Amino acid sequence: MSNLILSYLTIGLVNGSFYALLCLGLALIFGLLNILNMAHGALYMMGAFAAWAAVARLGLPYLTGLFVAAILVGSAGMMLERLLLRRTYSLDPLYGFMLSFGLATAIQGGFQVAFGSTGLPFTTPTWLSDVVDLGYAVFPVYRLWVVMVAFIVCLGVWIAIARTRAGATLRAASENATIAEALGVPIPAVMTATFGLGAALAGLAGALAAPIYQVSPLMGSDVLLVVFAIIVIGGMGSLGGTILAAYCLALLESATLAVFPQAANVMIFAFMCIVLSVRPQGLFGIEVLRQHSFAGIPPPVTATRDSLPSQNYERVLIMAMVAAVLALLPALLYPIFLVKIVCFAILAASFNFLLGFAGVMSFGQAALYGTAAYVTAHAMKEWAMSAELAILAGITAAILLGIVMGALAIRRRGIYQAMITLAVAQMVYFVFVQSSFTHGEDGLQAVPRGILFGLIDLRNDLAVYGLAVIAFCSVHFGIKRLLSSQLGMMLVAVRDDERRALSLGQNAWGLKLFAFAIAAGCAGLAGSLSAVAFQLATLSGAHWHLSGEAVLMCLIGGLGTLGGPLVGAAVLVTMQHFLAPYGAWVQVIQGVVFAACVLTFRDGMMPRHGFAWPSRLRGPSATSFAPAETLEETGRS
Amino acid sequence: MATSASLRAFATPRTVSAPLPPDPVLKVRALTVQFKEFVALNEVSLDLRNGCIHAVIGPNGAGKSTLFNAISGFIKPIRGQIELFGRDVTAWPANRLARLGLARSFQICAIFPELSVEENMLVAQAHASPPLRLLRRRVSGDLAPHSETLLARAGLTSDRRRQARELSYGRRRLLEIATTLALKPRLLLLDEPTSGLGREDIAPVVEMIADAARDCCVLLVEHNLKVVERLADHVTVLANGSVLSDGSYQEVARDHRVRAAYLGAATDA
Ligand SMILES: Nc1ncnc2c1ncn2[C@@H]1O[C@H](COP(=O)(O)OP(=O)(O)OP(=O)(O)O)[C@@H](O)[C@H]1O
Ligand SMILES: [Mg+2]
Repeated sequence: MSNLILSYLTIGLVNGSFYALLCLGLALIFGLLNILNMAHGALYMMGAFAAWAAVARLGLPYLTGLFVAAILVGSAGMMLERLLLRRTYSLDPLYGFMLSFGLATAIQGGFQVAFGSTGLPFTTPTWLSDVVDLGYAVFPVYRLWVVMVAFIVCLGVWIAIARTRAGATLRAASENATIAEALGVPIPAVMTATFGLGAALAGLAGALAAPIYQVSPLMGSDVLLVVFAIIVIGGMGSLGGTILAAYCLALLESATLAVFPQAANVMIFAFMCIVLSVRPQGLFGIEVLRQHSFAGIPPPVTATRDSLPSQNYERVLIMAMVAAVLALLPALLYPIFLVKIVCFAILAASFNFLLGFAGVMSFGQAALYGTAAYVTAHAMKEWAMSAELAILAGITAAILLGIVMGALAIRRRGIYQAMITLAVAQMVYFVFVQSSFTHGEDGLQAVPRGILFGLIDLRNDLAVYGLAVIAFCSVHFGIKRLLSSQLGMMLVAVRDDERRALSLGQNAWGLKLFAFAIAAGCAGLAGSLSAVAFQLATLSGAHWHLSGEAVLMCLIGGLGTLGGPLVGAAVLVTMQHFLAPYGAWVQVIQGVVFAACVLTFRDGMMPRHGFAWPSRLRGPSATSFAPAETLEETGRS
Repeated sequence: MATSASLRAFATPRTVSAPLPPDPVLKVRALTVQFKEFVALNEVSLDLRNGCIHAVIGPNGAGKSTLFNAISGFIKPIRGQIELFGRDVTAWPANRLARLGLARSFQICAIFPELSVEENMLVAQAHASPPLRLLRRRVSGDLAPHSETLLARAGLTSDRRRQARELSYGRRRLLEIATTLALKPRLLLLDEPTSGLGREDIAPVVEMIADAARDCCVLLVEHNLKVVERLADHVTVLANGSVLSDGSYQEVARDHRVRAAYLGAATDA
């Protein structure tokens, strides 16, 4: 038994090597550039492909292949930084995050188009293909080689940063870029070099992973989330702590694999939740390099803006027109297609609401959507519950999960919150993958639609369409109403300056949780509706890529506008519909649209009706209230 | 500018109109705050007498803001005790303290930039309103007469619908103090209320403080010694996290250790 555990721990060291290389790069990039690089998984994958191309295609020796992979990916990273990411530095860090997400989607899609989704084999070099007897187990030499290389590289980078002049420059720049620049440090060049270094580390990790895992376009996508969870646990304040956390958690993961294999996938995420509830500042307690809380985007509707009679008249006219269009649309388009738009629009609205009111960029909305869909579908199919009760059950489940997610997320600030929502979502996803009631890859199919309130037969598509329209209107006008209430004002206040709100007696914690619960309810409504309309609940509905699409929809339509989610959803669903025959090209185009929106089209399609857009998100000019500054005093307490 | 004589008038202990809180209003005992290894406050004790304006002065980095943060519930002290209005409030959260009647301002002026001036005031009075009222639409009329007076006092009535971030720094300060007072505090903590203000902005802020002090006690951090001399009944000098001296302004000013600490800091800076 102890031999078995020892060999599992050795496997843990191998995984830990990959985690450590990835965490190190992410932490370096975040420390200086203040970007949480969502493209890190894609860079890792590129490293594997580069090594594969060099060794399997060009016949270069393996060591050269490793080297080439690191250099190539590092250069690609530098180009990405120079040409694209650089443009987001003057904006809220949220845009850097979204841009890197778009790039990751596009890159992964591109590789899928070129190489297909199935893995490519990569043979271990002969001089490493032996096995070695460690006394407790026989082990492939290659894995020990991986452990060694990764350890030496991590140690080397760590020492270089702690001891050398270049390292000192980097540390100074990470600490305070403005002062370092004044002292003559060429910040832009240092930023490019740092991103290159981080990318090269990811590339190296990918190249090392190539012989162990198959070389495939999506190999970096799930690893990235594990790495995020590790970073939340370990914090990014000290590189040593980050690396140590990576190794420890990999060991924990493999120990779980030995004892209780089903839980291995979720172990790190579950551990993250525990750490957050017991020790919110993370294990090593140093999390601050620069923390931002996102400024968010509610259009603060000023209470006292009394509408003029003419505006009222206009409003009635617009309403009438909208109603007419809504009534006519099903005659022109397939109703279920429209329902899909509406479901996505509600999901996007929930993201939009959370970003606006709690300042939280949530990548967890899809988990809520998926949960509600499963609960509703299960309730209707297995328990033969009536439609309205099943939808209610779905929404309730989503709200409960949303509150848990929120309670964990609001223990940290800024970009960490995005990571926490992602990690919780991934954990939920893994739970669904392994539970039997979800029927795995097949999902719950042929869910009966039933009869709503015993009156309306939902087997009629038009009835479902009507239900969806009513749902959307309730969400839309509900949020609008909340915006203009005192409660909405207090939510904005907490988002603007939490300390100030606390010092004025507001229960900031409760208010944020409230925002989470409302957003979760909306996401749940969308999910339940989708289960009824498509008679289906699947894993892809709970996957974080759907959350990414929700972000994209908001971005296309206009972050922080009330109509944005609907417009964005219409554009995206239509695009997906027409591009469907082209397979992986959808990903590429979606990624490119995402990146293009972030770079050039930040305001989206909907006009902003004189609503105020928070200064911090508007660009370089108005930054008199930089959040970093306001957090200075107590942010660390 | 109010004459120095009229300000002097406030500097003698006043009769407080609200039911008399116990004396001392605020009792801090052996308060110690640590950031990692660094001891930011070391066994600080201080009594705030009823009806007083009590100033805390000291060189940069002395721990004045840290003391405020600990008293107002933003930092947990590792040792020591804080008694407010006769109750032990050590380690209470900030919002609970606010409801007990402790209001504070921040060194870096803290307002809600995305809300209008009027809404900033509304947030301050919102904790008193019943929950269901919070779901109602906001309208101008929601502002309590007390807040209305404060807004006028701060000279912001005509700007009530402007977004707070559009205001000049001086007026943001006035707004911050007005929102702080809208809580109807029994104890007011002001962290460098005149810092960053131009000469012409200082006078109205000082006036507002003097005015507010008629109804509550004030603990004040201030670098501008002229303002301290005018307002404060009692002065505590902090340096390197410890109390260096304590007494009336004249007593403290005579203390050679205080002079040394200040001059030392002044030459550093
Ligand atoms: N959150 C924190 N983490 C670590 N150190 C801190 C933190 N807050 C304050 N300090 C340190 O504690 C010391 C006291 O800081 P504090 O802000 O209380 O000084 P101060 O007297 O208010 O100075 P100033 O006049 O400049 O406002 C300083 O050396 C500061 O660097
Ligand atoms: Mg201070």
